[in-house]
Amino acid sequence: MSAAKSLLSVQNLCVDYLTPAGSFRAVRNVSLDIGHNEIMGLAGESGCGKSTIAFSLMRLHRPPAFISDGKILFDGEDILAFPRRKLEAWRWSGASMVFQSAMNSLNPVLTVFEQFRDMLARHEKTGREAARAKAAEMMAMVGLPADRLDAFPHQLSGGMRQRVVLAMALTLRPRLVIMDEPTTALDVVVQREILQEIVALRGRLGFSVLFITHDLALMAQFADRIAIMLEGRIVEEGAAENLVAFPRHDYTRKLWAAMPRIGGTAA
Amino acid sequence: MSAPLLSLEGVSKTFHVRPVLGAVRRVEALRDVTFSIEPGRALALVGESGSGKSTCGRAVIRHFEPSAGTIRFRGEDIFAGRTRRGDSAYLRAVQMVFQDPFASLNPTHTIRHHLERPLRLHGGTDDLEARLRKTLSDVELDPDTTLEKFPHQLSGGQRQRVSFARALAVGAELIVADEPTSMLDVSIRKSVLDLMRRLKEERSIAFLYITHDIATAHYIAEETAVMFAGQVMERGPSDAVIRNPRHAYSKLLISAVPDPARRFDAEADDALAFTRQADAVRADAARPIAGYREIAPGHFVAYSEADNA
Repeated sequence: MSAAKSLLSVQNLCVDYLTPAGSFRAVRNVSLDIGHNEIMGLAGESGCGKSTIAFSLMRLHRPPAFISDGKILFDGEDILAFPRRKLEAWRWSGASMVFQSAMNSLNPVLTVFEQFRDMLARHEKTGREAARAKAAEMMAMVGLPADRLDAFPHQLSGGMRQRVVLAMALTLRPRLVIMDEPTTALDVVVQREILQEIVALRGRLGFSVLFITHDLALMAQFADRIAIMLEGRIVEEGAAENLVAFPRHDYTRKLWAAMPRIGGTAA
Repeated sequence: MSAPLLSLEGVSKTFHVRPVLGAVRRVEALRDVTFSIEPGRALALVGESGSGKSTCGRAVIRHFEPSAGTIRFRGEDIFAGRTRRGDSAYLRAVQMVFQDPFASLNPTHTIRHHLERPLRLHGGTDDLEARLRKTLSDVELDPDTTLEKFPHQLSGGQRQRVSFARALAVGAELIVADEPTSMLDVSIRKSVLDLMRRLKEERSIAFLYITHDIATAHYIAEETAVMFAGQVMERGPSDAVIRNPRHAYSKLLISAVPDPARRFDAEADDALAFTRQADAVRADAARPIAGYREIAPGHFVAYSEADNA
Protein backbone atom coordinates (compact mmCIF):
# COMPACT_ATOMS: atom_id res chain seq x y z
CA MET A 1 0.00 0.00 0.00
CA SER A 2 1.54 3.36 -0.96
CA ALA A 3 1.92 6.10 1.64
CA ALA A 4 -0.47 8.41 -0.16
CA LYS A 5 -3.30 5.94 -0.01
CA SER A 6 -2.98 5.06 3.64
CA LEU A 7 -4.53 7.07 6.44
CA LEU A 8 -1.65 6.63 8.85
CA SER A 9 1.89 6.00 7.80
CA VAL A 10 4.56 5.35 10.39
CA GLN A 11 8.06 5.49 8.97
CA ASN A 12 11.17 4.20 10.75
CA LEU A 13 9.84 5.11 14.17
CA CYS A 14 12.32 4.79 17.05
CA VAL A 15 11.34 5.39 20.67
CA ASP A 16 13.95 5.42 23.42
CA TYR A 17 13.60 5.34 27.18
CA LEU A 18 16.24 7.21 29.12
CA THR A 19 17.39 5.27 32.14
CA PRO A 20 20.25 5.91 34.56
CA ALA A 21 22.10 3.09 32.82
CA GLY A 22 21.80 4.74 29.41
CA SER A 23 19.07 4.86 26.82
CA PHE A 24 17.00 1.82 25.94
CA ARG A 25 15.43 1.58 22.51
CA ALA A 26 11.92 0.18 22.99
CA VAL A 27 10.73 0.68 19.42
CA ARG A 28 13.26 0.01 16.68
CA ASN A 29 12.72 1.31 13.17
CA VAL A 30 9.06 0.41 12.98
CA SER A 31 7.24 1.17 9.75
CA LEU A 32 3.53 0.61 9.57
CA ASP A 33 0.69 1.69 7.28
CA ILE A 34 -2.99 1.72 8.13
CA GLY A 35 -5.42 2.10 5.26
CA HIS A 36 -8.75 3.90 5.29
CA ASN A 37 -11.39 1.81 7.07
CA GLU A 38 -8.85 -0.82 7.89
CA ILE A 39 -8.50 -2.69 11.18
CA MET A 40 -4.80 -3.18 11.77
CA GLY A 41 -3.77 -5.56 14.53
CA LEU A 42 -0.53 -5.24 16.47
CA ALA A 43 0.30 -8.30 18.56
CA GLY A 44 3.16 -9.21 20.84
CA GLU A 45 4.05 -10.09 24.40
CA SER A 46 4.38 -7.68 27.30
CA GLY A 47 7.38 -5.42 26.95
CA CYS A 48 7.66 -5.76 23.16
CA GLY A 49 6.88 -2.08 22.61
CA LYS A 50 3.34 -2.29 21.27
CA SER A 51 1.82 0.07 23.84
CA THR A 52 4.77 2.44 23.45
CA ILE A 53 3.86 2.71 19.77
CA ALA A 54 0.21 3.42 20.60
CA PHE A 55 1.12 6.22 22.99
CA SER A 56 3.68 7.67 20.56
CA LEU A 57 1.13 7.83 17.75
CA MET A 58 -1.07 10.09 19.88
CA ARG A 59 2.02 11.88 21.20
CA LEU A 60 0.88 10.83 24.65
CA HIS A 61 4.25 9.33 25.51
CA ARG A 62 5.88 10.91 28.53
CA PRO A 63 9.49 11.21 29.65
CA PRO A 64 11.62 9.16 30.07
CA ALA A 65 10.24 8.02 26.70
CA PHE A 66 11.05 10.15 23.67
CA ILE A 67 10.80 9.69 19.94
CA SER A 68 14.35 9.68 18.66
CA ASP A 69 13.77 9.11 14.98
CA GLY A 70 11.14 8.55 12.33
CA LYS A 71 7.95 10.11 11.03
CA ILE A 72 4.26 9.67 11.78
CA LEU A 73 2.13 10.87 8.89
CA PHE A 74 -1.62 11.20 9.34
CA ASP A 75 -3.25 11.86 6.01
CA GLY A 76 0.10 13.17 4.77
CA GLU A 77 0.66 15.54 7.70
CA ASP A 78 3.50 14.98 10.15
CA ILE A 79 2.01 14.61 13.62
CA LEU A 80 5.38 15.06 15.27
CA ALA A 81 5.53 18.58 13.84
CA PHE A 82 2.04 19.61 15.07
CA PRO A 83 2.09 22.64 17.36
CA ARG A 84 0.36 22.16 20.71
CA ARG A 85 -2.96 23.76 19.73
CA LYS A 86 -3.27 21.72 16.59
CA LEU A 87 -2.33 18.55 18.42
CA GLU A 88 -5.02 19.14 21.05
CA ALA A 89 -7.64 19.74 18.39
CA TRP A 90 -6.51 16.65 16.49
CA ARG A 91 -6.85 14.35 19.50
CA TRP A 92 -10.45 13.06 19.74
CA SER A 93 -11.41 14.53 16.37
CA GLY A 94 -8.66 13.17 14.12
CA ALA A 95 -7.64 10.18 16.18
CA SER A 96 -8.87 8.91 19.54
CA MET A 97 -7.72 6.25 21.93
CA VAL A 98 -9.39 3.52 23.99
CA PHE A 99 -7.27 2.16 26.83
CA GLN A 100 -7.26 -1.18 28.57
CA SER A 101 -8.69 0.01 31.84
CA ALA A 102 -11.86 2.03 31.35
CA MET A 103 -11.99 2.77 35.08
CA ASN A 104 -8.70 4.63 34.82
CA SER A 105 -9.59 6.53 31.67
CA LEU A 106 -12.87 7.90 33.01
CA ASN A 107 -12.87 10.59 35.68
CA PRO A 108 -14.35 8.96 38.81
CA VAL A 109 -15.87 12.17 40.21
CA LEU A 110 -17.73 13.26 37.07
CA THR A 111 -20.88 11.71 35.63
CA VAL A 112 -20.69 10.13 32.22
CA PHE A 113 -22.50 13.13 30.73
CA GLU A 114 -20.07 15.65 32.24
CA GLN A 115 -17.22 13.80 30.51
CA PHE A 116 -19.01 13.94 27.17
CA ARG A 117 -19.81 17.62 27.72
CA ASP A 118 -16.20 18.42 28.59
CA MET A 119 -14.99 16.98 25.29
CA LEU A 120 -17.79 18.51 23.18
CA ALA A 121 -17.49 21.96 24.74
CA ARG A 122 -13.76 22.01 24.28
CA HIS A 123 -13.69 20.84 20.70
CA GLU A 124 -16.92 22.11 19.19
CA LYS A 125 -18.16 24.68 21.73
CA THR A 126 -21.34 22.65 21.98
CA GLY A 127 -23.97 23.97 24.40
CA ARG A 128 -25.40 21.88 27.23
CA GLU A 129 -28.64 20.89 25.48
CA ALA A 130 -26.94 19.95 22.23
CA ALA A 131 -24.24 18.04 24.10
CA ARG A 132 -26.93 16.08 25.93
CA ALA A 133 -28.59 15.11 22.66
CA LYS A 134 -25.28 14.17 21.05
CA ALA A 135 -24.18 12.12 24.07
CA ALA A 136 -27.51 10.28 24.15
CA GLU A 137 -27.20 9.50 20.46
CA MET A 138 -23.70 8.07 20.95
CA MET A 139 -24.80 6.04 23.97
CA ALA A 140 -27.63 4.52 21.93
CA MET A 141 -25.13 3.65 19.23
CA VAL A 142 -23.15 1.45 21.62
CA GLY A 143 -26.30 -0.05 23.12
CA LEU A 144 -26.57 1.94 26.36
CA PRO A 145 -29.76 3.70 27.56
CA ALA A 146 -29.56 7.50 27.80
CA ASP A 147 -30.35 7.52 31.54
CA ARG A 148 -26.90 6.02 32.17
CA LEU A 149 -25.50 9.44 31.25
CA ASP A 150 -26.18 10.56 34.80
CA ALA A 151 -24.31 7.64 36.35
CA PHE A 152 -20.84 7.88 37.80
CA PRO A 153 -18.25 5.47 36.38
CA HIS A 154 -18.26 3.27 39.50
CA GLN A 155 -21.98 2.65 39.05
CA LEU A 156 -21.37 0.94 35.71
CA SER A 157 -20.06 -2.56 35.02
CA GLY A 158 -16.68 -3.01 33.34
CA GLY A 159 -18.31 -3.73 30.00
CA MET A 160 -20.57 -0.67 30.23
CA ARG A 161 -17.61 1.55 31.11
CA GLN A 162 -15.70 0.32 28.08
CA ARG A 163 -18.77 1.05 25.93
CA VAL A 164 -18.89 4.59 27.32
CA VAL A 165 -15.22 5.10 26.44
CA LEU A 166 -15.88 3.70 22.97
CA ALA A 167 -18.88 6.04 22.50
CA MET A 168 -16.73 9.00 23.55
CA ALA A 169 -13.92 7.94 21.23
CA LEU A 170 -16.34 7.92 18.28
CA THR A 171 -18.29 11.11 19.10
CA LEU A 172 -16.17 13.54 17.08
CA ARG A 173 -16.03 11.10 14.15
CA PRO A 174 -12.28 10.49 14.22
CA ARG A 175 -10.78 8.68 11.27
CA LEU A 176 -8.53 6.54 13.44
CA VAL A 177 -9.26 4.86 16.76
CA ILE A 178 -6.30 3.38 18.63
CA MET A 179 -7.36 0.56 20.94
CA ASP A 180 -4.81 -0.71 23.43
CA GLU A 181 -6.07 -4.05 24.83
CA PRO A 182 -9.62 -2.65 25.00
CA THR A 183 -11.24 -5.88 26.14
CA THR A 184 -8.49 -7.62 28.10
CA ALA A 185 -10.12 -6.81 31.44
CA LEU A 186 -13.53 -8.05 30.25
CA ASP A 187 -15.18 -11.45 30.10
CA VAL A 188 -15.25 -13.31 26.80
CA VAL A 189 -18.97 -12.80 26.19
CA VAL A 190 -18.76 -9.04 26.77
CA GLN A 191 -15.56 -8.96 24.73
CA ARG A 192 -17.29 -10.48 21.76
CA GLU A 193 -20.29 -8.15 22.13
CA ILE A 194 -18.06 -5.06 22.07
CA LEU A 195 -15.76 -6.13 19.24
CA GLN A 196 -18.67 -7.16 17.02
CA GLU A 197 -20.20 -3.81 17.69
CA ILE A 198 -17.00 -2.05 16.63
CA VAL A 199 -16.99 -3.96 13.35
CA ALA A 200 -20.62 -3.01 12.75
CA LEU A 201 -19.96 0.65 13.62
CA ARG A 202 -17.00 0.76 11.28
CA GLY A 203 -19.31 -0.36 8.50
CA ARG A 204 -21.75 2.41 9.39
CA LEU A 205 -19.43 5.33 10.25
CA GLY A 206 -16.18 4.45 8.50
CA PHE A 207 -12.98 4.68 10.57
CA SER A 208 -9.66 2.87 10.84
CA VAL A 209 -8.55 0.98 13.93
CA LEU A 210 -5.16 0.16 15.37
CA PHE A 211 -5.95 -2.79 17.62
CA ILE A 212 -3.34 -3.89 20.14
CA THR A 213 -3.57 -7.16 22.02
CA HIS A 214 -1.60 -10.19 23.09
CA ASP A 215 -4.49 -12.50 22.14
CA LEU A 216 -3.63 -13.77 18.67
CA ALA A 217 -6.82 -15.79 18.24
CA LEU A 218 -8.98 -12.77 19.00
CA MET A 219 -6.92 -10.61 16.66
CA ALA A 220 -7.37 -13.10 13.83
CA GLN A 221 -11.15 -12.75 14.24
CA PHE A 222 -11.15 -8.99 14.33
CA ALA A 223 -8.29 -7.48 12.29
CA ASP A 224 -7.89 -7.20 8.52
CA ARG A 225 -4.12 -7.13 8.70
CA ILE A 226 -1.81 -8.17 11.53
CA ALA A 227 1.72 -7.17 12.51
CA ILE A 228 3.67 -9.25 15.03
CA MET A 229 6.16 -7.47 17.28
CA LEU A 230 9.18 -8.88 19.06
CA GLU A 231 11.64 -6.82 21.08
CA GLY A 232 10.72 -3.51 19.49
CA ARG A 233 10.63 -4.72 15.90
CA ILE A 234 7.90 -5.88 13.59
CA VAL A 235 8.94 -9.38 12.58
CA GLU A 236 6.00 -10.31 10.39
CA GLU A 237 3.11 -8.51 8.79
CA GLY A 238 0.35 -9.66 6.52
CA ALA A 239 -3.34 -10.27 5.90
CA ALA A 240 -5.02 -11.80 8.94
CA GLU A 241 -5.98 -15.04 7.21
CA ASN A 242 -2.41 -15.58 5.96
CA LEU A 243 -0.93 -15.05 9.39
CA VAL A 244 -3.28 -17.69 10.73
CA ALA A 245 -2.88 -20.23 7.96
CA PHE A 246 0.72 -19.63 6.83
CA PRO A 247 2.79 -17.95 9.53
CA ARG A 248 6.30 -17.49 8.16
CA HIS A 249 8.35 -16.16 11.07
CA ASP A 250 9.47 -18.62 13.76
CA TYR A 251 8.22 -16.32 16.49
CA THR A 252 4.70 -16.18 15.02
CA ARG A 253 4.66 -19.97 14.84
CA LYS A 254 5.87 -20.13 18.43
CA LEU A 255 3.06 -17.82 19.56
CA TRP A 256 0.46 -19.98 17.85
CA ALA A 257 1.95 -23.17 19.25
CA ALA A 258 1.94 -21.75 22.77
CA MET A 259 -1.82 -21.31 22.78
CA PRO A 260 -3.98 -24.24 23.75
CA ARG A 261 -6.97 -24.29 21.46
CA ILE A 262 -10.27 -26.05 21.89
CA GLY A 263 -10.00 -27.42 18.39
CA GLY A 264 -6.62 -28.94 19.27
CA THR A 265 -5.95 -32.22 20.99
CA ALA A 266 -6.60 -32.51 24.70
CA ALA A 267 -3.99 -35.18 25.25
CA MET B 1 -13.65 -44.59 39.75
CA SER B 2 -11.75 -44.14 42.97
CA ALA B 3 -13.10 -42.37 46.03
CA PRO B 4 -13.13 -38.59 45.69
CA LEU B 5 -10.40 -36.61 47.41
CA LEU B 6 -12.55 -33.53 47.68
CA SER B 7 -16.29 -33.25 47.42
CA LEU B 8 -18.69 -30.35 47.74
CA GLU B 9 -22.30 -31.17 48.49
CA GLY B 10 -24.88 -28.42 48.14
CA VAL B 11 -22.49 -25.71 49.25
CA SER B 12 -24.01 -22.24 49.56
CA LYS B 13 -22.55 -19.02 50.86
CA THR B 14 -24.41 -15.78 51.46
CA PHE B 15 -22.46 -12.64 52.25
CA HIS B 16 -24.05 -9.65 53.96
CA VAL B 17 -22.53 -6.57 52.49
CA ARG B 18 -22.76 -3.58 54.80
CA PRO B 19 -22.05 -0.38 52.95
CA VAL B 20 -21.14 2.78 54.90
CA LEU B 21 -24.44 4.26 53.76
CA GLY B 22 -27.60 2.44 52.83
CA ALA B 23 -29.13 -0.90 53.65
CA VAL B 24 -27.43 -4.25 54.15
CA ARG B 25 -27.38 -6.21 50.92
CA ARG B 26 -27.42 -10.00 50.64
CA VAL B 27 -25.10 -11.49 48.05
CA GLU B 28 -25.62 -15.13 47.25
CA ALA B 29 -22.08 -15.90 46.13
CA LEU B 30 -22.58 -19.68 46.00
CA ARG B 31 -25.87 -21.50 45.53
CA ASP B 32 -26.06 -25.23 46.05
CA VAL B 33 -22.71 -26.09 44.48
CA THR B 34 -21.93 -29.79 44.12
CA PHE B 35 -18.90 -31.46 42.55
CA SER B 36 -16.01 -33.76 43.45
CA ILE B 37 -12.38 -34.30 42.46
CA GLU B 38 -10.44 -37.55 42.54
CA PRO B 39 -6.69 -37.84 43.25
CA GLY B 40 -4.52 -37.10 40.22
CA ARG B 41 -7.34 -35.42 38.34
CA ALA B 42 -8.25 -31.84 37.65
CA LEU B 43 -11.59 -30.10 37.69
CA ALA B 44 -11.83 -26.72 35.99
CA LEU B 45 -14.26 -24.12 37.25
CA VAL B 46 -14.97 -21.75 34.38
CA GLY B 47 -17.16 -18.68 34.23
CA GLU B 48 -17.09 -14.92 33.99
CA SER B 49 -15.92 -12.63 36.78
CA GLY B 50 -18.35 -12.62 39.66
CA SER B 51 -19.70 -16.06 38.86
CA GLY B 52 -18.51 -17.45 42.19
CA LYS B 53 -15.62 -19.58 40.98
CA SER B 54 -13.00 -17.93 43.19
CA THR B 55 -15.40 -17.95 46.15
CA CYS B 56 -15.64 -21.68 45.66
CA GLY B 57 -11.85 -21.99 45.79
CA ARG B 58 -11.70 -19.89 48.93
CA ALA B 59 -14.29 -22.09 50.64
CA VAL B 60 -12.17 -25.14 49.83
CA ILE B 61 -9.06 -23.62 51.43
CA ARG B 62 -11.28 -22.90 54.45
CA HIS B 63 -11.17 -19.16 54.12
CA PHE B 64 -14.74 -19.11 55.42
CA GLU B 65 -17.42 -21.57 56.43
CA PRO B 66 -20.28 -22.13 53.95
CA SER B 67 -23.77 -21.00 54.99
CA ALA B 68 -25.09 -24.43 54.00
CA GLY B 69 -23.81 -27.71 52.61
CA THR B 70 -20.69 -29.71 53.37
CA ILE B 71 -17.18 -29.85 52.00
CA ARG B 72 -15.48 -33.21 52.51
CA PHE B 73 -11.83 -34.03 52.17
CA ARG B 74 -11.08 -37.78 52.03
CA GLY B 75 -14.66 -38.27 53.17
CA GLU B 76 -14.44 -36.08 56.27
CA ASP B 77 -16.25 -32.80 56.79
CA ILE B 78 -13.53 -30.15 56.86
CA PHE B 79 -15.44 -27.96 59.31
CA ALA B 80 -16.68 -30.65 61.74
CA GLY B 81 -14.81 -31.76 64.86
CA ARG B 82 -11.78 -29.61 64.19
CA THR B 83 -8.60 -30.42 66.11
CA ARG B 84 -5.33 -28.62 65.95
CA ARG B 85 -3.67 -31.64 64.42
CA GLY B 86 -6.40 -32.17 61.88
CA ASP B 87 -6.24 -28.51 60.96
CA SER B 88 -2.56 -28.60 60.29
CA ALA B 89 -2.89 -31.77 58.24
CA TYR B 90 -5.64 -30.22 56.12
CA LEU B 91 -3.81 -26.95 55.61
CA ARG B 92 -0.78 -28.95 54.51
CA ALA B 93 -2.66 -31.18 52.10
CA VAL B 94 -4.62 -28.38 50.44
CA GLN B 95 -2.53 -25.59 48.96
CA MET B 96 -3.38 -22.54 46.93
CA VAL B 97 -1.59 -20.93 43.98
CA PHE B 98 -2.73 -17.40 43.23
CA GLN B 99 -3.12 -15.39 40.07
CA ASP B 100 -0.53 -12.72 40.75
CA PRO B 101 2.97 -14.15 41.25
CA PHE B 102 4.20 -10.63 42.08
CA ALA B 103 1.91 -10.35 45.07
CA SER B 104 2.09 -13.91 46.38
CA LEU B 105 5.84 -14.01 47.08
CA ASN B 106 7.49 -11.79 49.68
CA PRO B 107 9.74 -9.31 47.84
CA THR B 108 12.18 -9.01 50.76
CA HIS B 109 13.03 -12.71 50.96
CA THR B 110 15.00 -15.06 48.75
CA ILE B 111 13.51 -18.11 47.08
CA ARG B 112 15.50 -20.19 49.58
CA HIS B 113 13.61 -18.55 52.44
CA HIS B 114 10.25 -19.13 50.73
CA LEU B 115 10.87 -22.86 50.41
CA GLU B 116 12.97 -23.55 53.51
CA ARG B 117 10.25 -22.53 55.93
CA PRO B 118 7.54 -24.88 54.68
CA LEU B 119 10.08 -27.70 54.29
CA ARG B 120 11.28 -27.22 57.87
CA LEU B 121 7.82 -26.88 59.37
CA HIS B 122 6.47 -29.96 57.71
CA GLY B 123 9.53 -32.21 57.49
CA GLY B 124 12.15 -31.16 60.00
CA THR B 125 15.73 -30.21 59.21
CA ASP B 126 17.09 -33.55 57.94
CA ASP B 127 18.57 -33.29 54.43
CA LEU B 128 17.09 -29.82 54.18
CA GLU B 129 19.48 -28.70 51.45
CA ALA B 130 18.87 -31.81 49.35
CA ARG B 131 15.09 -31.53 49.71
CA LEU B 132 15.26 -27.88 48.85
CA ARG B 133 17.13 -28.57 45.63
CA LYS B 134 14.84 -31.46 44.73
CA THR B 135 11.73 -29.31 45.21
CA LEU B 136 13.08 -26.73 42.78
CA SER B 137 14.10 -29.32 40.20
CA ASP B 138 10.60 -30.79 40.46
CA VAL B 139 9.19 -27.55 39.08
CA GLU B 140 11.90 -27.34 36.42
CA LEU B 141 13.91 -24.56 38.02
CA ASP B 142 17.70 -24.71 38.34
CA PRO B 143 18.56 -24.79 42.09
CA ASP B 144 22.05 -23.33 41.52
CA THR B 145 20.83 -20.16 39.92
CA THR B 146 17.45 -19.77 41.61
CA LEU B 147 17.90 -20.42 45.33
CA GLU B 148 19.58 -17.17 46.32
CA LYS B 149 17.51 -14.95 44.07
CA PHE B 150 14.78 -12.55 45.14
CA PRO B 151 11.34 -12.70 43.52
CA HIS B 152 11.96 -9.56 41.43
CA GLN B 153 14.91 -11.26 39.76
CA LEU B 154 12.67 -13.97 38.31
CA SER B 155 10.22 -13.82 35.41
CA GLY B 156 6.48 -14.22 36.00
CA GLY B 157 6.60 -17.82 34.82
CA GLN B 158 9.51 -18.65 37.12
CA ARG B 159 7.76 -17.01 40.04
CA GLN B 160 4.65 -19.05 39.40
CA ARG B 161 6.85 -22.17 39.43
CA VAL B 162 8.13 -21.12 42.87
CA SER B 163 4.50 -20.91 44.03
CA PHE B 164 3.96 -24.49 42.88
CA ALA B 165 7.26 -25.52 44.53
CA ARG B 166 6.00 -24.06 47.80
CA ALA B 167 2.88 -26.20 47.55
CA LEU B 168 4.98 -29.28 46.76
CA ALA B 169 7.33 -28.55 49.67
CA VAL B 170 4.61 -29.33 52.19
CA GLY B 171 3.37 -32.36 50.28
CA ALA B 172 0.17 -30.92 48.82
CA GLU B 173 -2.42 -33.44 47.65
CA LEU B 174 -4.85 -30.87 46.28
CA ILE B 175 -3.80 -27.57 44.72
CA VAL B 176 -6.39 -24.85 44.28
CA ALA B 177 -5.01 -22.84 41.35
CA ASP B 178 -6.85 -19.56 40.84
CA GLU B 179 -6.06 -18.23 37.35
CA PRO B 180 -2.39 -19.25 37.68
CA THR B 181 -1.54 -18.35 34.09
CA SER B 182 -3.68 -15.34 33.33
CA MET B 183 -0.97 -12.82 34.22
CA LEU B 184 1.73 -14.64 32.28
CA ASP B 185 2.83 -14.01 28.72
CA VAL B 186 1.26 -16.18 26.07
CA SER B 187 4.48 -17.99 25.18
CA ILE B 188 5.16 -19.20 28.74
CA ARG B 189 1.57 -19.95 29.71
CA LYS B 190 1.63 -23.36 28.18
CA SER B 191 4.83 -24.42 29.95
CA VAL B 192 3.20 -23.66 33.32
CA LEU B 193 0.12 -25.64 32.26
CA ASP B 194 2.40 -28.50 31.24
CA LEU B 195 4.00 -28.40 34.67
CA MET B 196 0.57 -28.71 36.28
CA ARG B 197 -0.23 -31.61 34.01
CA ARG B 198 2.99 -33.37 34.98
CA LEU B 199 2.39 -32.89 38.72
CA LYS B 200 -1.05 -34.33 38.22
CA GLU B 201 0.09 -37.37 36.28
CA GLU B 202 3.36 -38.17 38.05
CA ARG B 203 2.50 -37.27 41.62
CA SER B 204 -1.25 -37.80 41.63
CA ILE B 205 -1.87 -34.27 42.80
CA ALA B 206 -5.46 -33.16 42.31
CA PHE B 207 -6.23 -29.69 40.96
CA LEU B 208 -9.15 -27.36 41.36
CA TYR B 209 -8.34 -25.13 38.40
CA ILE B 210 -10.19 -21.82 38.41
CA THR B 211 -10.09 -19.94 35.13
CA HIS B 212 -11.95 -17.81 32.62
CA ASP B 213 -9.78 -19.20 29.83
CA ILE B 214 -11.79 -22.12 28.54
CA ALA B 215 -9.15 -23.36 26.11
CA THR B 216 -6.72 -23.94 29.00
CA ALA B 217 -9.43 -25.73 30.98
CA HIS B 218 -9.81 -28.10 28.07
CA TYR B 219 -6.04 -28.51 27.96
CA ILE B 220 -5.48 -29.65 31.54
CA ALA B 221 -8.72 -30.66 33.22
CA GLU B 222 -10.55 -33.97 32.88
CA GLU B 223 -13.74 -32.37 34.13
CA THR B 224 -15.17 -28.89 33.71
CA ALA B 225 -17.92 -27.11 35.61
CA VAL B 226 -19.46 -23.95 34.17
CA MET B 227 -20.54 -21.45 36.82
CA PHE B 228 -22.81 -18.45 36.59
CA ALA B 229 -24.30 -16.29 39.35
CA GLY B 230 -23.06 -18.67 42.04
CA GLN B 231 -24.56 -21.80 40.48
CA VAL B 232 -23.10 -24.64 38.47
CA MET B 233 -24.93 -24.62 35.13
CA GLU B 234 -23.31 -27.68 33.65
CA ARG B 235 -20.58 -30.10 34.64
CA GLY B 236 -19.04 -33.18 33.11
CA PRO B 237 -16.07 -34.45 31.09
CA SER B 238 -14.24 -31.40 29.70
CA ASP B 239 -14.41 -32.60 26.15
CA ALA B 240 -18.19 -33.03 26.26
CA VAL B 241 -18.90 -29.80 28.14
CA ILE B 242 -16.61 -27.65 25.99
CA ARG B 243 -17.11 -29.14 22.55
CA ASN B 244 -20.74 -30.00 22.96
CA PRO B 245 -22.24 -27.72 25.62
CA ARG B 246 -25.89 -28.41 26.41
CA HIS B 247 -26.96 -25.60 28.72
CA ALA B 248 -27.85 -22.29 27.03
CA TYR B 249 -25.41 -20.39 29.21
CA SER B 250 -22.49 -22.74 28.56
CA LYS B 251 -23.26 -22.48 24.86
CA LEU B 252 -23.12 -18.69 25.05
CA LEU B 253 -19.88 -18.67 27.05
CA ILE B 254 -18.13 -21.15 24.81
CA SER B 255 -19.33 -19.52 21.60
CA ALA B 256 -17.55 -16.35 22.71
CA VAL B 257 -14.14 -18.00 23.10
CA PRO B 258 -11.87 -16.46 20.45
CA ASP B 259 -11.62 -18.72 17.44
CA PRO B 260 -9.28 -17.59 14.66
CA ALA B 261 -11.33 -19.51 12.11
CA ARG B 262 -14.44 -17.36 12.62
CA ARG B 263 -14.32 -13.72 11.51
CA PHE B 264 -16.36 -11.03 13.25
CA ASP B 265 -17.20 -9.15 10.05
CA ALA B 266 -19.18 -12.13 8.85
CA GLU B 267 -21.43 -11.75 11.86
CA ALA B 268 -21.30 -7.99 12.31
CA ASP B 269 -24.84 -7.46 11.06
CA ASP B 270 -26.31 -9.17 14.05
CA ALA B 271 -24.00 -7.58 16.63
CA LEU B 272 -26.96 -6.22 18.55
CA ALA B 273 -28.82 -9.50 18.18
CA PHE B 274 -25.92 -11.28 19.90
CA THR B 275 -25.99 -8.76 22.75
CA ARG B 276 -29.75 -9.14 23.20
CA GLN B 277 -29.52 -12.90 23.14
CA ALA B 278 -26.64 -12.80 25.64
CA ASP B 279 -28.71 -10.65 28.01
CA ALA B 280 -31.67 -13.01 27.76
CA VAL B 281 -29.55 -16.11 28.42
CA ARG B 282 -27.92 -14.45 31.42
CA ALA B 283 -31.25 -13.38 32.92
CA ASP B 284 -32.51 -16.94 32.51
CA ALA B 285 -29.40 -18.52 33.99
CA ALA B 286 -29.48 -16.28 37.07
CA ARG B 287 -32.75 -17.88 38.26
CA PRO B 288 -32.54 -20.62 40.89
CA ILE B 289 -31.78 -24.07 39.57
CA ALA B 290 -34.40 -26.73 40.27
CA GLY B 291 -32.18 -29.73 39.60
CA TYR B 292 -29.81 -31.46 37.23
CA ARG B 293 -30.37 -33.92 34.41
CA GLU B 294 -27.66 -36.48 33.76
CA ILE B 295 -27.62 -36.54 29.98
CA ALA B 296 -24.60 -38.84 29.70
CA PRO B 297 -22.58 -40.63 32.38
CA GLY B 298 -21.12 -37.89 34.57
CA HIS B 299 -22.47 -35.05 32.41
CA PHE B 300 -24.98 -32.94 34.36
CA VAL B 301 -27.04 -30.06 32.98
CA ALA B 302 -29.05 -27.73 35.20
CA TYR B 303 -32.74 -26.96 34.68
CA SER B 304 -34.94 -24.36 36.32
CA GLU B 305 -38.62 -24.50 37.35
CA ALA B 306 -39.60 -22.71 34.16
CA ASP B 307 -37.92 -25.36 31.99
CA ASN B 308 -39.99 -28.01 33.71
CA ALA B 309 -43.30 -26.26 33.27
